[in-house]
Amino acid sequence: MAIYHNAAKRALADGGLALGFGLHHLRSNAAPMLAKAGGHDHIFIDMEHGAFTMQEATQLCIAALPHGIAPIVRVCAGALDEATRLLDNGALGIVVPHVDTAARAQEVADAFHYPPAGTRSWGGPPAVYGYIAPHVAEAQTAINAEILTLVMIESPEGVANADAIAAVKGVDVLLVGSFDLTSSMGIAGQFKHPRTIEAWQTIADAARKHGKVLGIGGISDDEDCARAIGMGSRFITTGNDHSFMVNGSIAAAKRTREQVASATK
Amino acid sequence: MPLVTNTTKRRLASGQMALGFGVHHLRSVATPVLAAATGHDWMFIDTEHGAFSVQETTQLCIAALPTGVTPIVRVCAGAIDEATRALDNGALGIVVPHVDTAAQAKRIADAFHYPPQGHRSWGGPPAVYGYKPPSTAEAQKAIDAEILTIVMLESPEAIANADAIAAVPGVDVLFIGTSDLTAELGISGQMGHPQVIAAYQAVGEACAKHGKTLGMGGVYDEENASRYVGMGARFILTGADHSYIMAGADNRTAFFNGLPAAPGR
Repeated sequence: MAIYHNAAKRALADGGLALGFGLHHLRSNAAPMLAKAGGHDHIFIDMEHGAFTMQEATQLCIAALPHGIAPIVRVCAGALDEATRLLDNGALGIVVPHVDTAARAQEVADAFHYPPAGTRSWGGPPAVYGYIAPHVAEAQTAINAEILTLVMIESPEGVANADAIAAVKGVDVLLVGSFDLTSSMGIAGQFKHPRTIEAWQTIADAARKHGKVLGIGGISDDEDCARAIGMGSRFITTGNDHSFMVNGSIAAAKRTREQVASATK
Repeated sequence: MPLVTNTTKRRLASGQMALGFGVHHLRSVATPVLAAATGHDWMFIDTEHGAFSVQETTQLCIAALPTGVTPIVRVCAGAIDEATRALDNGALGIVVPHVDTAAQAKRIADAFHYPPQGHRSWGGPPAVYGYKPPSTAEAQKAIDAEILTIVMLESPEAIANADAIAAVPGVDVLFIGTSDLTAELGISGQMGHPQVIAAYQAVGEACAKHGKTLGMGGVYDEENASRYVGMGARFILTGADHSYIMAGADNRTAFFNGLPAAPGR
């Protein structure tokens, strides 16, 4: 069987946007189907801030594969061992937060790629091949090429090292964590602050110079999103199950109250 | 989004065999992928004898939909309410065991089809449409046509009533529970007994007369399986996760114990 294509990586390689559906609350295998119904390319399973077990996260990954929805997981900064278990069980991309230096980015890239590109260990039934894999050498080369390695830049040190981080082979996406970045700069949540915009631009320039993809995360209003897209941001999480439910339920309650008020006038 | 295709129903409609992968132990979403990898057309989630919750069952059903493996659930004889919950959450077919009369078959067909054909209730997010259904009227009609209603004949009374059961509109498959049938006949486990052959003959003729499919369960040896497939059996269970694991594991211990260099036990 052929490897499951990474829809997000392919969309990015074609110069397009990769739209992600964030997961925090959901544990049902319906999640990738919901992401697809909403027009997304990938699910973004957040194990940095969500309380997913390894089993829960990988069940969602395996369920996403036949939908053509790329399962991408954010792990905690130090949890590279969880990342490789996720890759072994269906994930097609890993987001590592808080990457401040090129040396750290190199460790991440090494951990996620099989030799000779890196040092990833081979093991377990190959979920990304639907359990029918070709010869191990062929499979390792193909998997190395199909996965997405994303590092998050979210500190002044990371911004200062953006060019060196972008130069690391095997890193595909520089993802800006705008909340933690502005917090660590002493301007928490000020996405229109000149220093924030300057930091985004530095990272965008580094990504463009080294042929890497830019993602500016954490933003949601029209002005910020327009600015980010203008800078080249293409790896985008549209929101997550939490924001979708809260915003949707607020709108539904408001509409119902208005209907009631209108009917009883 | 289009309705998920019931590949098993399509195969049966064109006179081909449809092979089922029985599930008793597994709860992972990898299950339908494994069934596909091993050449199966449908998954037989056995909640008559397996200890599945409705949640576990429907998570497997939802995971199967994008793989092309048809999720089919066997409920307990009296659990028609669990059957419709499974249909509401991804199942594309239901097996009801111990159906002895046309009246019972009629009640089952009524429960599984929307009005005007039956009395199934509409509700919940429509998993079989990837959560993007057309209008309710169109969806109900299409779902009625896509699901498989399978009744099990496994008593002398059922065999005597095979013609009347096969005549019930909305029943697609008459599935012989050969194991329980032999027990009821007092010839437990004798899959090639003349009374069993006579039962396959009678049910096969009833199916042919009314345009229904003959199914075979509990027959796994070459001589008898060959005979009953020759008599028209097309809806076929190849075994279950339990029997596959036992056979595979037995084979490996025999291999290592049989190596010429192996020390005696």
